[in-house]
Amino acid sequence: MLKMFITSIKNLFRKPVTQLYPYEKYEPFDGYRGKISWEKGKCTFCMKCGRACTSGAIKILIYSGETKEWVWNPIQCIYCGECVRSCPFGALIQEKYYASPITKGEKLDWSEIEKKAGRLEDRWRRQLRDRRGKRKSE
Amino acid sequence: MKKIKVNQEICTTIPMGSQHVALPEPVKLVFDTENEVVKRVSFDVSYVHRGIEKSLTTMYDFKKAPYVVGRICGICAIAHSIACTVALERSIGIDGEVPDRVRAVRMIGLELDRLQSHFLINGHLAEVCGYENIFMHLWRCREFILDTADMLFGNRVQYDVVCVGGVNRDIDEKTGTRISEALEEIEESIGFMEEVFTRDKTLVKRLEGLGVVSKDKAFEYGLVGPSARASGVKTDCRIEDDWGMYRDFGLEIITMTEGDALARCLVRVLECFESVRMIREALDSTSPGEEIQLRVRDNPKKDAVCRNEAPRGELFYYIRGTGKKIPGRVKIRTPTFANIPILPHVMIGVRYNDVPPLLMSFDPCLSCTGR
Amino acid sequence: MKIFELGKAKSPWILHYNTGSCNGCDIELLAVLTPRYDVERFGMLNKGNPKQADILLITGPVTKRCRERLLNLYLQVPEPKVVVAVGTCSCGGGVFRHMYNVENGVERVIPVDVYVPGCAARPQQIIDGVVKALQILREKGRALEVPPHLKKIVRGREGGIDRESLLEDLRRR
Repeated sequence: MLKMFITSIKNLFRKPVTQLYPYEKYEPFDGYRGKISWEKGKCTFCMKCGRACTSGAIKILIYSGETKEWVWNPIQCIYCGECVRSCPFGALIQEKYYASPITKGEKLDWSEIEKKAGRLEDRWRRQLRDRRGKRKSE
Repeated sequence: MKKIKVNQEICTTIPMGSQHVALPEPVKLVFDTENEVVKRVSFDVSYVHRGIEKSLTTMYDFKKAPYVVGRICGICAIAHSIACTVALERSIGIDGEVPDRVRAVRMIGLELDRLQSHFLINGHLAEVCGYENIFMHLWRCREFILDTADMLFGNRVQYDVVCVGGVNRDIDEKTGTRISEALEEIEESIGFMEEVFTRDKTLVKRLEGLGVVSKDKAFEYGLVGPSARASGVKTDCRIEDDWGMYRDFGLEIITMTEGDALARCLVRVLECFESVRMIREALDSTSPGEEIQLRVRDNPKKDAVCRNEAPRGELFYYIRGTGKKIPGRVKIRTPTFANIPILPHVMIGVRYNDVPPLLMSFDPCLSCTGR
Repeated sequence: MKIFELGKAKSPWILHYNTGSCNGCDIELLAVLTPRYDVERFGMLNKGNPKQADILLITGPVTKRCRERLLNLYLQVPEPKVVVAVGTCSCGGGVFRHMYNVENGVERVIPVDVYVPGCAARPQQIIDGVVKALQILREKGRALEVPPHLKKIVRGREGGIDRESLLEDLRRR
């Protein structure tokens, strides 16, 4: 009983534990697994990150030999870091800042992009096989 | 609420449905009561079934399996990952070559997970008994543990650190000293939790003698985890199936004889002290800079089994390898699945307002059950 | 009704439903109510009653069994309301996308306003999402009010108004 009173009086003079989040800035620890950033100069579009991604958040769209596109969906990613470890050229970096929330207007239409990526990848692999077949026969 | 007849008596049916302010998971319980004494209970756990076992044999190859399996349960995530990885390593055949530093890092992850899970459930139990103040204090202490995990592994809840053949990150010396300082604060919080659950008169009187399970019944129904150890059954998978270095460090199994709700809480508190000791020994045993990942060239070939000690009991994984990249069959048996059959028998004859503390003292994790 | 608008913006109440998630995001939601990231400073309380809620927080990829209960809850919440999808699983299915018992995400069942990413979503990310949801709630509240050129007509009638006289007034303007 006496201990309860002593603790109550001590708590009157202690600082509060609350971190007033939106008003005080929060700095994450080094090594926190945050959002992924892509460097265009080092990428050769080998598609290894697309195959290594666990939840299918990276899609690579190859329209022709010259126009190629790399898409990352922040609301489908599970932030595990497999893509960063699988890139042999070091084109992907995982920063320590977390991704911020988005509203309805800024969202990507992911089912359309999945279907397009599937079709374009089949077409690209057929083209590569034909090229290799032609080179062998020459 | 409608009235029905059970054994020639008129009962009132009270549903506690899938959306409830006290339930963080969707489960449906239907009680038949008479004068506020429970006569019959029925469970419905299938709201959380997502189809994970089938997807591991069709959509994901074996190198992605630890990350997928960690999302079965968010509270005991690394226990699932470690069990799956050890079973895959035994199936490939590289089980004996895993270096000691890898074992030490995996042990540290598992014991940190166990600490935060025990703080979570004890706080939730106190809140359900009416003590919201203790809930806030224990969850405030839990934040130190989550900060430690954030420093070490990169995320508070899902430490995606285990992969087939090793671990992804190493612990360097500076982080090691910071963890040792954090461990002293954590020990003070465990001391506070022990004081609350042994000396607070109202809490002790509320939980004493509630839901007594004798040792014979625990054997008969096959209980696992702290619920079985509180009834006197001496079982712990860390000693029986040792993938780490628990036997070398001399882990102690803590048992009690009464078998009521208070004994289950106290077993969890005393296990926290042992966990802190294991983390200290694992940090001192090996030094940073050694090899942390083996090269895996083969595919899983044989049948393999792994039993791991999750915070709630024994977790069992069976993997059948066929020589291809995708395993043939994965079977998972979670600890709460083994603890559920005893609940209808323990709840009969209990007053209706004692049901939430009784349910929470068995530590149900229903998203593990309905995977 | 300025005082109701002020009340809704300064103290919105929450309804939380878990449609089959792994519990990571739900535990972080409960941790947002604890002393360290105290969200009760914004006036939010977790009551389990849909008739008293302003903001719906939903986690988990919607399993086929939870779909009807979710729709039921959404229809019981009175206007104006905001739906926030917390975590990667509820935004598009996450790791569970294309599994056999799962509808991929909350947006296939009810309309969603704010998406909060993360696995598991940090308390700081949840607070960011809720602050955005409050702004949307304010705009929705204002859009529901009677527009000013109709206010004079509505207030000045004895015995109430009926549809014919209202349309006649509008045609005259």
